[in-house]
Amino acid sequence: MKFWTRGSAFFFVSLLQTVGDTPVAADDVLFTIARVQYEGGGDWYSDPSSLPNLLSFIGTHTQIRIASEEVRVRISDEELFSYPYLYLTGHGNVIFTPKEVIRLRQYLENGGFLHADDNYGMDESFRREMSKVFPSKDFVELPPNHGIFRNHFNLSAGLPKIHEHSGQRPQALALFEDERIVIIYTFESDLGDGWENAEVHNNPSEKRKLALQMGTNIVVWALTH
Amino acid sequence: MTGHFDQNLIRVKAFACRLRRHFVSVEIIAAALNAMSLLILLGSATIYVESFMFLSSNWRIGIELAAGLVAFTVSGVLLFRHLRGRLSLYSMALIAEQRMDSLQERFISAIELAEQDPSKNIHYSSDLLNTIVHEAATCIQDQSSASIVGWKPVRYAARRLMLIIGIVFATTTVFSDSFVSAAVRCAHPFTHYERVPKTQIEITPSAVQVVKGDDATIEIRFSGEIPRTAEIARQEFAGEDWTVAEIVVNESYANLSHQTVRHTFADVRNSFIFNVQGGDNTSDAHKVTAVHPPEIQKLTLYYDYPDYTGLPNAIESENGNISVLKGTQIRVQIDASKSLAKATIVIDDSTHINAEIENRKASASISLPTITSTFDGHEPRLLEKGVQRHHYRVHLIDQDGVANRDPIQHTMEVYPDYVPQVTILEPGIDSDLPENQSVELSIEAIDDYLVETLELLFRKNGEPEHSMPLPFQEASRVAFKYLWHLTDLELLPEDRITFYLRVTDNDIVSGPKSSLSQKHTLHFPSLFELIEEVQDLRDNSITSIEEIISNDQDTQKYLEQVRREVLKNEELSWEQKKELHASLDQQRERAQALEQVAQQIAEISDKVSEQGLNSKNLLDKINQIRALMEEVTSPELLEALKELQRSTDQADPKKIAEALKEFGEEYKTFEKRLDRTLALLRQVQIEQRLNTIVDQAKNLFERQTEIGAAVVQTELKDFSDSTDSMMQTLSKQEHSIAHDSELFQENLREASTEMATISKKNSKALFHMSTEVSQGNLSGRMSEMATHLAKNNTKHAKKIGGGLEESLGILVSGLEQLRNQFLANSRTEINQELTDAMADLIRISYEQENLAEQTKQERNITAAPMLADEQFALLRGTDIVIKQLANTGQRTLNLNPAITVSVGYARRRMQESGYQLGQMALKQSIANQSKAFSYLNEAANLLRQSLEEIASSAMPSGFGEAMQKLMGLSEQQASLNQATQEALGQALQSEQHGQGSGSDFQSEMARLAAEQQRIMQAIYEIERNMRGHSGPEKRMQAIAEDIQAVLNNMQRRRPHPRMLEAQEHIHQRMLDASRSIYARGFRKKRRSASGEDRNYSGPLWIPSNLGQKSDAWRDAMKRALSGHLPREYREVVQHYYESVYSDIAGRSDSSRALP
Repeated sequence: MKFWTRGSAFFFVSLLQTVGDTPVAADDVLFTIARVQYEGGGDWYSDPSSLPNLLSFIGTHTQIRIASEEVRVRISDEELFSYPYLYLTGHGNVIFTPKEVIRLRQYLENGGFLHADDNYGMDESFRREMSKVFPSKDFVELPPNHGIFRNHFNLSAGLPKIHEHSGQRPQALALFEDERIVIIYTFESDLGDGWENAEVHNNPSEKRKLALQMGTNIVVWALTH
Repeated sequence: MTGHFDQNLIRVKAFACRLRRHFVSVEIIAAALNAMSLLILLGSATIYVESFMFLSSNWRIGIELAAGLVAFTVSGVLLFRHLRGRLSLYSMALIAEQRMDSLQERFISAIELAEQDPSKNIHYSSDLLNTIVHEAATCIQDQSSASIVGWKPVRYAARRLMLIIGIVFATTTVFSDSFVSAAVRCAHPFTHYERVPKTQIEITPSAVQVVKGDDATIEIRFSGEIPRTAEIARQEFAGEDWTVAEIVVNESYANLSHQTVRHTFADVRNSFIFNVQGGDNTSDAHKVTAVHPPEIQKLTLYYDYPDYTGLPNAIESENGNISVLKGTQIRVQIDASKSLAKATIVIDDSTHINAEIENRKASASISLPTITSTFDGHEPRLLEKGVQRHHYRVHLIDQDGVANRDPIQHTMEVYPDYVPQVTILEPGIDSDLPENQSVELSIEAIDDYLVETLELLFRKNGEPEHSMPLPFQEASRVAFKYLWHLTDLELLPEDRITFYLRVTDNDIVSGPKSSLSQKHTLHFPSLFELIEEVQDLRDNSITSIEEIISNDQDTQKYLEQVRREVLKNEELSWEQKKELHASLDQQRERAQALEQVAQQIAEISDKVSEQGLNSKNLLDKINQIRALMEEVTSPELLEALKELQRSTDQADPKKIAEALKEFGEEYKTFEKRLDRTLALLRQVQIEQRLNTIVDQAKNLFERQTEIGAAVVQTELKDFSDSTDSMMQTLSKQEHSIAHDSELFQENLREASTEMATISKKNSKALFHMSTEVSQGNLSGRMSEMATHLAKNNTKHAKKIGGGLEESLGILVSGLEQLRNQFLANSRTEINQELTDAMADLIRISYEQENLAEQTKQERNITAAPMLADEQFALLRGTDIVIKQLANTGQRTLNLNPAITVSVGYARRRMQESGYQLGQMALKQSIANQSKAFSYLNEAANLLRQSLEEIASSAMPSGFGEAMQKLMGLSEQQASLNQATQEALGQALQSEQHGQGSGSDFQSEMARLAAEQQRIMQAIYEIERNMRGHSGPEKRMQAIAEDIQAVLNNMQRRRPHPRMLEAQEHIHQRMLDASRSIYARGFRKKRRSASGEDRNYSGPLWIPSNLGQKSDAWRDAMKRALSGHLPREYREVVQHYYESVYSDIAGRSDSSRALP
């Protein structure tokens, strides 16, 4: 069975559990996001309150049963394939070893999903590493009429701009494997900052809500496609 | 005896026999009737019993047999008893005698005589006998047996029968239903009848079919005995328990013949059977069948784009939403979960398109251009320009006639072929032309299909528009940079170039469409304009600070007053609290206003830096003021403000007083800083003004000289059209100089006024120059020259130009002299003041050292007061020096803030020493005295350094250098944090596996601790350099304290997750500290402000190849792995391909371009 179908099955089991009376062991079905711990010096651990907040938001607004905490995983870890959804962020340099490049490619080709969120400063290195993982693929920009902006919350304006950064427009970039999106790269948006506790960046609540809704849409998309 | 006798006797006997026959007949008939009556009676009784008891067949047979038997037995017995002994002729004769008195026993006698037994030998006379017999025969001759025996028993029996029948009939009428049914059952004793319950239950419909998830409603009709409540039992799966629900049927026990109740099974998910139990009856089981509605399992859209777009056909099966170009043919293919009978696509709830059905599949075609005209008058909504928005639903009906539930509404967006768009991203605003007269245009153009041409259109001032095609690679989205050189346009200061772009697309159907970008203007600024701008900014800054200070004079007094009241009354009234809050809000507003001023100063700095205005020295000064401004509203002040706000809310008088005190102290510092900043800003303002007017004069002189030279050159040439054009240009330039010279005069007057507050002498000199310029009528002469130039009158122009050059040369020289003199005087003055202060400090230090020596040697304690007097005298002297330094510090930035800190420390020690001497504590005072002169020496030494810096006009550089170091350290701390995290992670894993943290961890932690120690040392060093800058200094101390705590943890060499948090905290503090100093620079790099919403300007479609290029190597690998290989082989094959692939990928190690 392909890995992503496991993810989908996992999702639907969660859904069914809320509908039916059949008790399902909670530990078996909790969804969580795995934060990628990479080399290169970038602060992969940045925005510490972001993922717990996002998970909580997803738990409240969808039928997905979620874990309250993120997990951390290296690409080389045995458990990588246990997590259907990876999240990568930071401000600095990202480097994958040749083995990690192969493993990440296998993970993505076999149903895994990666959301990379540019927290400002990782763009150059991330694109470089992705060109190693998929040399024959280019990022394509998802227009606001794409399903990922509508599948759960309707974000008709497309990817929200959470932080100014360089003042460029935000871009939701996708890398496809056949017809499936395997990587979403949110560039110049900084969703992670929007997911953080309100007092961390003092973002207006509307901005934070948009960021959380976008994050939810990405997760729902990853689990249902 | 005769023959008559015999005949008569025979007749008599015959009569008697007839009588007997008749009698028997009557009796039998009566018995039969009686038996019938009894039978009816018993039968009725049996029916009654049956109607009440609903007997089984056996019982009915038994009872009915018994009833029959009883009836016939009783009748038989009665008949028998009736007839017994009464069948003899004698008995008949007796009956006849009884009925007929006229017989007078003749008949009985005749029978008796006739029956006489001869053996008894009783002899009657034959006559008697004849007579009797004859008379008897005669008497009975006319008699009928019926008249004698009669029908009375029969009549009685018949009456009884009738009576019983009547009773039974009456009873039957009253209890007709139950009686008749009981009679029927009794009439068929061998037939088995089910007992009919009292309550009849009828359910309609008998079988229900609902779509899964819908409600099923049934009607239950109760008749007979209506129960108050009934129960509905439901079972989904065989063997499962029944689920019972109670329903109310007849709550009030009303006397009803029937009652109908409606019941709904809500949200039926599965089929089930149910029955209703009410009264004594339970209905048959009925079934509710849940059927699945047909569902769409897959919705595939096949797009056939218009030919001119050149787009290949596309298939989409994501969410059914249609978003296509107008003119596109769409085929919708539906894969349903069940065999379909009908499928309809309903567009905008009005247009129905029937799909072709094939088992579970259905497909229909939609032709988009027809939509608008065939929508039954429902015009599509136009939400965006040219975009038609519709929606559609797919309605399915399966073979059983079940329709799909709540069909999803899909969107259908029909886009027109858009007009191409072009944007000038950089410079996206009107801007000044840089010195090299080249502008880099960052251009982005998009079209839905192809951007074919791009033109740059521009116009200089009011001249005709020019067009220039731009080179680029045709594509649907074009983003490139074009370096536009404007040198060929021979621009002059104050010229304006208006430019924009025109883009056209490749629409060959309706003709190429084009659009224009926004217009922007490039301005070639004159020196005067630049200077004006900077001066305006600076003046605004000073005005803002002056306003803040003027609005803020009584704050400290007020805070002290409130503090005393709190201490005195131990509480604040509501009004006082409100007043205090209002005051604190004002402080906050002031702090915000100051931040804006700091930004203004930063802008000045940028302008000055970008345009190369003024000297490096002045730029440094402005930057230093900028740093000071950012320090004025320190985080400590804001924190104190917050704390005060919190404490007033808590209403704890002690806390309020403490907070007020702390805030008051911070506020005092704030005011001092603000005063100093303002004073320095004014100083810089004058200095800058002087520089400005010198530069302006020089600029006028240079331009005048250039024009003069050009006039000379033109004179040498022959007259031609180009010469004429040149003269016109020179005329324009001369007009421009004339205009600038007027501005210059104005600046000169303003400088004179500003200078008056600092140096009246210099002010007068400036005023004098201003008058001379005015009297010399520079601008008038320049205008005259311009007129001559315009008329090609070079001779006169040259003459006037020569005079102007001379006047301007004198002016420049005079102004330069004045400026240098001013700066020299100012520097000398400051130098002198600082030298005096240094001399005073050295003297005081010397005296302090002497005093310390004297105190050491003094054995007589009574000398202490005298020594104390001396100590206080020195203290007073120090206070004077401090005041001097404060005054001088307001006019120079070269005074190292650490000087005042050192003098302050010295003062404190001197004061303590004075008190100790006053208390006769000679020995104790010695240490303080030693420290005091040590600090004094340190201050004197720092003063000497400042004097050297003033001499070399260098700015104190320790500040910026320290911040650079801090930035570097924060990066090191980040690396250290990560290393610690990794080490801790490994150690915790090892511990979880029961292996302990291990020696590797110990050594790694030792290494990391050493690294952390090194960072701490560096922080201490920075702290020393920060002395005098209270904010940064305190931050450094806080960082050092945090590091010390982490070090303590590290040295224990035990993994502790808290350590990571603490390290991250340190890193954050470092970033905050460096950010607060370089706040503006940081913001410029990474604006931490929330993002402003931006309209999407990217491509509207995803490319059909989804960004995937053909990849022969991956395809080959997939092919190789597609066969049924053993797992080991698969791994080998995959490993081989992946390794080679990584090599290939490694070679293209370049970062990917933006899509």
